[in-house]
Amino acid sequence: MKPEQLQDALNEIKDEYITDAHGENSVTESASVGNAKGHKKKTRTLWRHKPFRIVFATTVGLILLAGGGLLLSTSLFGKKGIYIPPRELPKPSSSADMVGLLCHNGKVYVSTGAYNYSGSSDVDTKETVFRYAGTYLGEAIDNIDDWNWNGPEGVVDLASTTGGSVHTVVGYDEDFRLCKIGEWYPEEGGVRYFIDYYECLSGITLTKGSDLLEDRLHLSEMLPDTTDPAVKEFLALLNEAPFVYVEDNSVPYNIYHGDPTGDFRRKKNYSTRLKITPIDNVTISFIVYKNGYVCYNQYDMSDNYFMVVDPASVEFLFQ
Amino acid sequence: MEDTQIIALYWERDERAISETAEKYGRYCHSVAYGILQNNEDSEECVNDTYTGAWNSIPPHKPELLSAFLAKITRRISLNRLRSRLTKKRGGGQYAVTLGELEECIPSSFAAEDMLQTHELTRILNEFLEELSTEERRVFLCRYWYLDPIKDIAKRFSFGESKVKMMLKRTREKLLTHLEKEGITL
Repeated sequence: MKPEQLQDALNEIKDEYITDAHGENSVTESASVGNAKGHKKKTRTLWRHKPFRIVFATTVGLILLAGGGLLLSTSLFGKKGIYIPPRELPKPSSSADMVGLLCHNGKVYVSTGAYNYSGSSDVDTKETVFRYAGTYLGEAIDNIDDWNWNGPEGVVDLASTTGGSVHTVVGYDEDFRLCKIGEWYPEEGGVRYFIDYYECLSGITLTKGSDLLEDRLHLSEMLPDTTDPAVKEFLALLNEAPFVYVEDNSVPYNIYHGDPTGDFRRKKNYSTRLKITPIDNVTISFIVYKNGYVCYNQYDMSDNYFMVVDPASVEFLFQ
Repeated sequence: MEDTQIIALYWERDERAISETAEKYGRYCHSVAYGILQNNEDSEECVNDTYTGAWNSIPPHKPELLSAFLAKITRRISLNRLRSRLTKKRGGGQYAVTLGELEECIPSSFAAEDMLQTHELTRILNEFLEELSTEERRVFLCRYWYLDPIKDIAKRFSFGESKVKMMLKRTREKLLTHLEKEGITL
C-alpha cells in the first residue's frame, strides 16, 4: 500500500469528523445529525476552549479600537515606517514553509501565485510568454525542498524550489520582482510555456501605501482605463495610508485560515478580496478588512503588515 | 440559505444551487484547496470544479452535511491536481510532508496483493478515529485531512509545536497498531 491510498481513504471518512476537526460546524451551523429520518435538527456548539474565547475577545476589542477612529494611530504609525526583516531560508528539519522561493542578489523572493498561463497552445507560446520577461539572469537551481533547506549557509544565487529560467520583469525593479519561465508538455504534444512571478518585500522599510503601490507596483501607470473609478479612488487613499505591523492574526480575520470564532461563514462579513489585473495581466490582490485594515496579498506581508484607511472608505467593497 | 434548500435546488436542476453554494461554502472550499495547493489561482479552479462535481453528483446524492460533502470533493480534486503538478515538479508543500509521515503507518510487509479497497480502508479509518480522543482526532485530521502545517495546528489548539508533533507521532503509531490488528499483519 502506498501512503497515497491512505490519503485517498481518509477522504471518505465520516462527514462529522471533517467538519469537527476544523470547527466548520462549530458556531451556528445546524445540521441533521444522528437521526436516520433526518427530522430532528441539532445545533452544534462552539468549541468552548478558553484560547478561542481569549482570541475572540482580543479581536473584537481591536476591531472596536480601529473602528472607533484608529486610536492606535499615534503609537503605531511612526514616521520612520515599518521594517520588514529579511526573509531567511527554512532551516533543516523545520516544519514546512510551503512557499515557492527564489534567491537572487542575497535576497529571498517568494512566489506570488500569479501566473501568466492560459492553457491554450495558441497563447502559451514562447513569444507571448517571453514578452513579459526582461534580462535573463540564469537558470534556477531547483535545490530547495518545499519544507527544507539543506544547502550551504547563506543565500546562493538562483537557489530555488523549482527549476526554470529566471528573468527580470519588464517594467519592474529587479529588487522587487522577478519571473521564472517554465515549460511543460501537454498530452496532445508540443511544448507550452508559463511564467510565474516572485516578489521580495522583506529586508525593506515601508512607510505608506505608495511605497508599495507606486514605487514597486507602479499601479497608477499599470491600471487599465476600464478600472472602476471607485477602485481607483480607493487605491489613491491606500497610497497615503500608513503601514502598521500587527501581531500574528490579532486583528485580521484571515480569509484563508478562518476567523477566531471558528465560524468560516462569518468571514465574509469581515473581509473581502480586491483583485486587480494591471495591463500586464499580473494579477495582484488585497485582503480588505471591514475595519479599514488592508493587506497586500503576498507571503511576505500576509497577516502582519497592513495599510490602514478609514473604515468608511472600504464600505463600498462590502455592498 | 439552509443546506436543505440548496440541496433542493440541485435536485430541481436550478442553477442557483451553484451560486448559493459559492456564497455559503466558497471560502471554506477555498481554504481546503489552498491548504493542499498553496496557490490561489489553482485553488480557485479547484473550487469551481467542486461546484461542477456537486452539480453532477447531486442528484443522486442527498448529502446530510453539505459542507463535508463539498470539502471531500474539493480535497479529492485538489489532491489530484497536486499529484499532477508534482509530476511536472512544481512543488509538493504539505502534501509531500504528510505523505512521508503517513508512510510510517503502513505495515512494512503490506504487499500489493493485500491491497484493500478504499472503502474498506475508510471503514477501518473510521473505526480508528472513533477510538481516538476528540483532541487527538482533531489534531490528526487537521494534519492529514486538511494538511495544515504543524505551526498552524499548534496555534489553533494553543499547543507547543513539539506537543503537536508528539501527539501526531503517537497517533500514527496507534494507527499502525490498528491496521495490524485489522489483519494487515507484518
